[in-house]
Amino acid sequence: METVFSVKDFNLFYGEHQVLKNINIDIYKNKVTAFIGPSGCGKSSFLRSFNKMNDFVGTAHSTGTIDFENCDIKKIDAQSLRLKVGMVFQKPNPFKMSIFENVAYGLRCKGINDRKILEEKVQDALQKAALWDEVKDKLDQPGTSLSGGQQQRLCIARTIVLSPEVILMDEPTSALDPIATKKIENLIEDLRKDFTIIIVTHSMQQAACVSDYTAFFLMGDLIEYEKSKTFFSMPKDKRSEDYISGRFG
Amino acid sequence: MQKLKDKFQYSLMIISSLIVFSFFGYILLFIILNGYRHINLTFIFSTDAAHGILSMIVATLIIVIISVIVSVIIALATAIYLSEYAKDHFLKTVIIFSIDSLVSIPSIVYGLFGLAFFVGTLQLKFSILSGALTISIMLLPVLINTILEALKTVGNDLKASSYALGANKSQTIFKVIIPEVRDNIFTGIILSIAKVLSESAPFILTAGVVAKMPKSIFSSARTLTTHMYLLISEGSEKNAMQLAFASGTILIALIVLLNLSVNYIKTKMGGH
Ligand SMILES: Nc1ncnc2c1ncn2[C@@H]1O[C@H](COP(=O)(O)OP(=O)(O)OP(=O)(O)O)[C@@H](O)[C@H]1O
Ligand SMILES: [Mg+2]
Repeated sequence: METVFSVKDFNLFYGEHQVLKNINIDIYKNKVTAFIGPSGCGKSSFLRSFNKMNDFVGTAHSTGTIDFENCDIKKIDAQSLRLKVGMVFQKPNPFKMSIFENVAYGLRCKGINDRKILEEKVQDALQKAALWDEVKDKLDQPGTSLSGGQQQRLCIARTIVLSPEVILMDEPTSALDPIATKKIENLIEDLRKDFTIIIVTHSMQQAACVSDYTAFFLMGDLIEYEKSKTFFSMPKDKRSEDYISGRFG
Repeated sequence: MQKLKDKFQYSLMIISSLIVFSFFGYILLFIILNGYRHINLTFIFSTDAAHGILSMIVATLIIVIISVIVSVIIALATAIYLSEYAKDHFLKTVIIFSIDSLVSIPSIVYGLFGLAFFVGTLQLKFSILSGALTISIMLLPVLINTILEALKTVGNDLKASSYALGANKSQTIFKVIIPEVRDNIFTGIILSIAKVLSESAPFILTAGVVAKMPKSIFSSARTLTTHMYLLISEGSEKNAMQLAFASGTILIALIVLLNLSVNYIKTKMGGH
């Protein structure tokens, strides 16, 4: 199995405060990996390490290595890394521009302004994000005019338009209603064919149903990393079992 | 009981809005009724100051345009710098404190500064440009504050989303952050226009009082408000009061027109 990210002895600090402790994990290509664990255990911080978003936190520093396709990400420039490793945030947050321009944003920032290429790629991304049929007649309307669930799929579309290798998702459905959530979950199923996905979630059910692998974190430690089927049916660690059965967290 | 209370509150709201509106309407009507008899084509289009006010309208419009453009650009740059770039917290606090203090300085002081600096040191003489630059400085503190407050409401996630799509800082600022505060900038512009139109003292000290059609931005000129002030204080015309009311009516029309154009530009720019 091909690995996309290989993390070795990774420690992350905010100032003096250590939030990730000696993490070792391999993320597999074209698989969905779920990060679960109680609030504050460092899931989001870890996720942000994969596309260097922690660079914006002045106090953040780390030791150990994260290799992306066998190359230490410290050696990759942040902007080009982020084109390969996209990110979808918790709250849907379209930019104040049309639906079309929202999706075209990343391409335009790369310097692609050819209308034909843009139209082609935007349509393709919206189709992959299962949003095309709902918006094809109103591409020039503001992105904020869509419903919450549609906005989140728009945010997924603007990420996949750049054809990244990996999509990082930080609780992408926690601000959505059950129906919109189901749509995103189905979408993740489909996206697995083309992308590697890492998803942070608080819903056991979501982790069990969409992910191939599950990593369970507790207070900065990686407790267990296992095929999701195995993890949820017979966790090896007592703490995993307690967490799954809702005894803490 | 609750229903009665609701009704009471509702009628209170209606009554207070009516009072405010009738005051406003009364003032407006008073000015227009006193002024309209003097307004005719000669009054508006004659460039000869004794009969018409075209030169003042033109001078006023040019000053509005220059000062709004200059102050919005500088205010935007300052606010962006303060909120997106400035790291030194002490320096930032000092700058923001100074900006806050500048808000409450009376306009005549800005006029004096303009007289010394633009008219004197920079040798711009009494001119439209001196007046416009002076008033630009006066507009800056409020504009900077308006934009800064708006920038504070732009979510970190939104900026992060832009960076996560491989955008750099300037792309994020120009394509994502500024559009978020666009509406606030337009509100700032409308307030600024109102302020420019209402000032007279700083213009007397910097643009001068020459009641002739300005040849360029380096000519001395008289704004509409200055004209009204001088008409009444000099009292050299025998129907000075009526002329002042007539100018006031034109000024009101100008305000409405300018606000409409700003709103038009705002919607044209895709104000969703
Ligand atoms: N920008 C920051 N500066 C300093 N400390 C931070 C920062 N972001 C997170 N932390 C701290 O790091 C720890 C882990 O936070 P993180 O957001 O990664 O947790 P999480 O597992 O995503 O939690 P949640 O499930 O609530 O989202 C917390 O103790 C938090 O207070
Ligand atoms: Mg989190």
